[in-house]
Amino acid sequence: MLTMNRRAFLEAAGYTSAAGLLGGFWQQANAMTPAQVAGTDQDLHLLRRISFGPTDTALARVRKIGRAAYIEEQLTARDLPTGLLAAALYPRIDTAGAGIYLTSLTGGNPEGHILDLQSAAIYKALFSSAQLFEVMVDFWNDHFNTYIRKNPVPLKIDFDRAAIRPNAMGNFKTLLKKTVRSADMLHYLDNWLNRKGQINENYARELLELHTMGKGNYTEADMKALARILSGLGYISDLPLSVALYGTVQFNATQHDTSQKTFLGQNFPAGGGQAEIDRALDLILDHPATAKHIAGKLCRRFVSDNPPALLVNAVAATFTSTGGDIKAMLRQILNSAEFAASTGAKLKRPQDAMIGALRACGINRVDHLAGTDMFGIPVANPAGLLFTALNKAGHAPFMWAAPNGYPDTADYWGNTNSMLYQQKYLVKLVEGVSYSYILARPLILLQGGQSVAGNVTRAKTPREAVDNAIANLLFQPLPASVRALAISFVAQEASPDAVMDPATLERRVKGLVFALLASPWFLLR
Amino acid sequence: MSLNLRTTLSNLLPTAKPAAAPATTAAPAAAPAAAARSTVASKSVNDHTLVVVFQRFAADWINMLVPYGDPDYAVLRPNLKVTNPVVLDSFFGLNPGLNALKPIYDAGRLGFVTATGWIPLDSRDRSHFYAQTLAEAGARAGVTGGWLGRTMLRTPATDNIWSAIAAENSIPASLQGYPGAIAVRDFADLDHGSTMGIAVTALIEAVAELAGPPGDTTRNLAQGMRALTETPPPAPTVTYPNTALGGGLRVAAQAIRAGMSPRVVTVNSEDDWDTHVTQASRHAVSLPNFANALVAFHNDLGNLMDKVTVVTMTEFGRKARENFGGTDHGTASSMLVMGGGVIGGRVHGQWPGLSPQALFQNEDLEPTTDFRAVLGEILAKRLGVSLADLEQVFPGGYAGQGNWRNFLA
Repeated sequence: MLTMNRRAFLEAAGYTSAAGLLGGFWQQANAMTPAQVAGTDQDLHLLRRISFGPTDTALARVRKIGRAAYIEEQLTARDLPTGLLAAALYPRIDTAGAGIYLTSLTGGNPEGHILDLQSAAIYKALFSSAQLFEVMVDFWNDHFNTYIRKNPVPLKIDFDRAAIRPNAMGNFKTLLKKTVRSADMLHYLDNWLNRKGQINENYARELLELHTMGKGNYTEADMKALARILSGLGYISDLPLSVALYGTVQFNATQHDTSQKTFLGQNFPAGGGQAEIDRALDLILDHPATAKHIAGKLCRRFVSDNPPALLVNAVAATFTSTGGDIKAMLRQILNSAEFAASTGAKLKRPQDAMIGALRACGINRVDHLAGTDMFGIPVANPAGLLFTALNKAGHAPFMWAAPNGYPDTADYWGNTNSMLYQQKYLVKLVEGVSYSYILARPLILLQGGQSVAGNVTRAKTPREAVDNAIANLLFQPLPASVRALAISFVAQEASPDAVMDPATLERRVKGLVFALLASPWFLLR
Repeated sequence: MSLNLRTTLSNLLPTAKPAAAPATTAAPAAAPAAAARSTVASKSVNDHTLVVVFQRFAADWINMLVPYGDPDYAVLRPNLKVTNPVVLDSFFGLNPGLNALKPIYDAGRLGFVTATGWIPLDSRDRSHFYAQTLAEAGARAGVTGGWLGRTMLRTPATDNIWSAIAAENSIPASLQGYPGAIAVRDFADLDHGSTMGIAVTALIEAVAELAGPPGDTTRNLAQGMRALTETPPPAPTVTYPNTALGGGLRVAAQAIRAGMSPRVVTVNSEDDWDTHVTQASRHAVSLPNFANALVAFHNDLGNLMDKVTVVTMTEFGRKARENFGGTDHGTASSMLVMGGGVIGGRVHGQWPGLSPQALFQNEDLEPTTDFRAVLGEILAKRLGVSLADLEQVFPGGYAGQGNWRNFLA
């Protein structure tokens, strides 16, 4: 089936001396580990992990003030201007629950609200200078995943705005309690239909397994007791009679199972009411399993798919000693030796890779996209390149249906399908109009439709173009073998150091940029 | 990314040997075992395709393969019970939403195994995520990777890059451990679309090669693109439902019809199975989608179905007793089998009953057939996995011949 061998293939592709080229590099071909691909630049490593992709601005900042100071800066950063601009561009994300319903009833459309919510999330991930904050919003939106296609749309918007964002860098216990008393979660995991005599276990099970204690640290009987403890907790959903109150969380005592329960070894006497819920949540939150589960997830996000147990235990201890302080745990992780040793241990998820490509290409400032809808942003456009590609790669914002949220491991994302749609996106990004930004330094504004690779690269020869591309996109040198391959791709039969006809150079540099952004040197996090 | 099978220089140069060849950790036993197999067996092995459909998030088979003859059914499901089943025999009926399957059932090419799940108590679990992980691993402990991954390592080595296709967004846990698996959701999309064409594909592949293991997935993708330009798959002859299952089965049929000879294809059914609430109205949508996708696949393949076996599974069944309009997580479910060699038109297995004494923990359908016995029978009879290797795929004896329900001729 695969009849064309490697040498014939490369030669057909224009590499006139494919055998010699690859033959000379074979030792290195077997030598690279993820850490070697990722390189030794700790500043770059930090930015890969705590942002949606390094930019030259961010890299200059961390080099100037040092990593520890940069971490502190990011822990407290809130990007007010970008947040305000997002709210202005996507006004429907700023509408309260009842307000959204009123808007919908008077001609608004829920699909538009979904689009605004997705657009605002992408917009902030792309442009906000408070990158770690946006990373944590993304993290908690996965941890407390709810599905926008299952729920009434306004509830999800409230959830992101009122539960996740205000607490993303705050206290885990506050955050958890906020999610318990959110109409969005109560609806998504069916607790609004959990009532005495017709107990629904959905929320109780996921609250314990996914949100707090983790599998194996409680019994099936604990789960069943918690389901009864949660019975009667719902929200005001009857429209249009109570439009003004729509989405208000409400405890219905008549639907609460008041019989005796035993939960995590504690007696909950018969006759209890809503206070049982808070008591149960405190038991859960004070349990060491919760500290360990949350610490483990944070370490998996920031360190590696299988984080070192010593670090997880240390972070869990911080959870306990600080009462769930998220900043304290992040500070500990990001300054740890385990973090420093984990270069290349994570794979970018499609959203990180695609947004990261935009950021690496210099499209990281609000003004660069003003008035355009090339990518579905900032003018929301569901047919936009970025939305379409994220959707096909299986990573559109807020579109994971199951309560565990988008996976965060290479086992899941390191597959040909996800990678294919990243590549299709990159090709359009690189070969399209936006190419005028690539390698632009200093950055210049887009001149309608003009493709100006020759100008912005300021490179005249293949070797200059390759070095410029590597430095600007990857922020680190490539091994000699890869660099030589890249130069041979651009030069083909010509001399690497001879001035090349600009049109030919531009065309080949586009292919090169695509290949670099599709390479492990870009895709490792 | 975690799957590393380094191609060596001999792969890199003159005769490219794409992605597969489980040479490294593939258990020294695998190669001799494959070699020792009879010619006849390996021939039938090489042209049979197993399609595994996973119904994600626990389908309520009690309301799909309806035990209308069980007096306790209506007692446990006063509101949710199916009142007008499509009669299969004196005991079971199909939910009318699955009516489209009836002609294939009647033709003897589709059947069911009822009350499937884990026989060992310590592996029964009502967490979606844990139960899916266990089901795809195929054992609670003592194994690495997934059951299909181990299976692939125990069938003859191949350089066919389409030998294991995940016709879904990602490589499922069941296929983990086999380095040659490729995820394809739509063959028509399998091209990066650059105006630079093959030249940039070559650059990407060569760069990935130089990266070593971190470049494996990228390299697999480039090879897939390359192979597809040589063997473009045919267009479907039927219309599939626009669902994950429909799309996945469409890819599976294209691969089979194109002669790509996949040994296994995995497909996700994401048909809204997690029906804690409003089950009846959701089944009214999901069941026809499920049935129509399988029927489309069957009709698309025509005679080629003789060399295909489809099996469905889900991580657990749902509670025997309804709640307020839906069903919570339970234990036993059922499996559907379809294909030329299936002894169809029958419900295989043993119904345990829904009486209080018969229920597991007084709330769930009790498994009477270990799901691994169903899968094991297919692996042995259709993919040529030896009984000794079967014990490596599913340790503990549960997949052994003595437990088979003999639903395959």
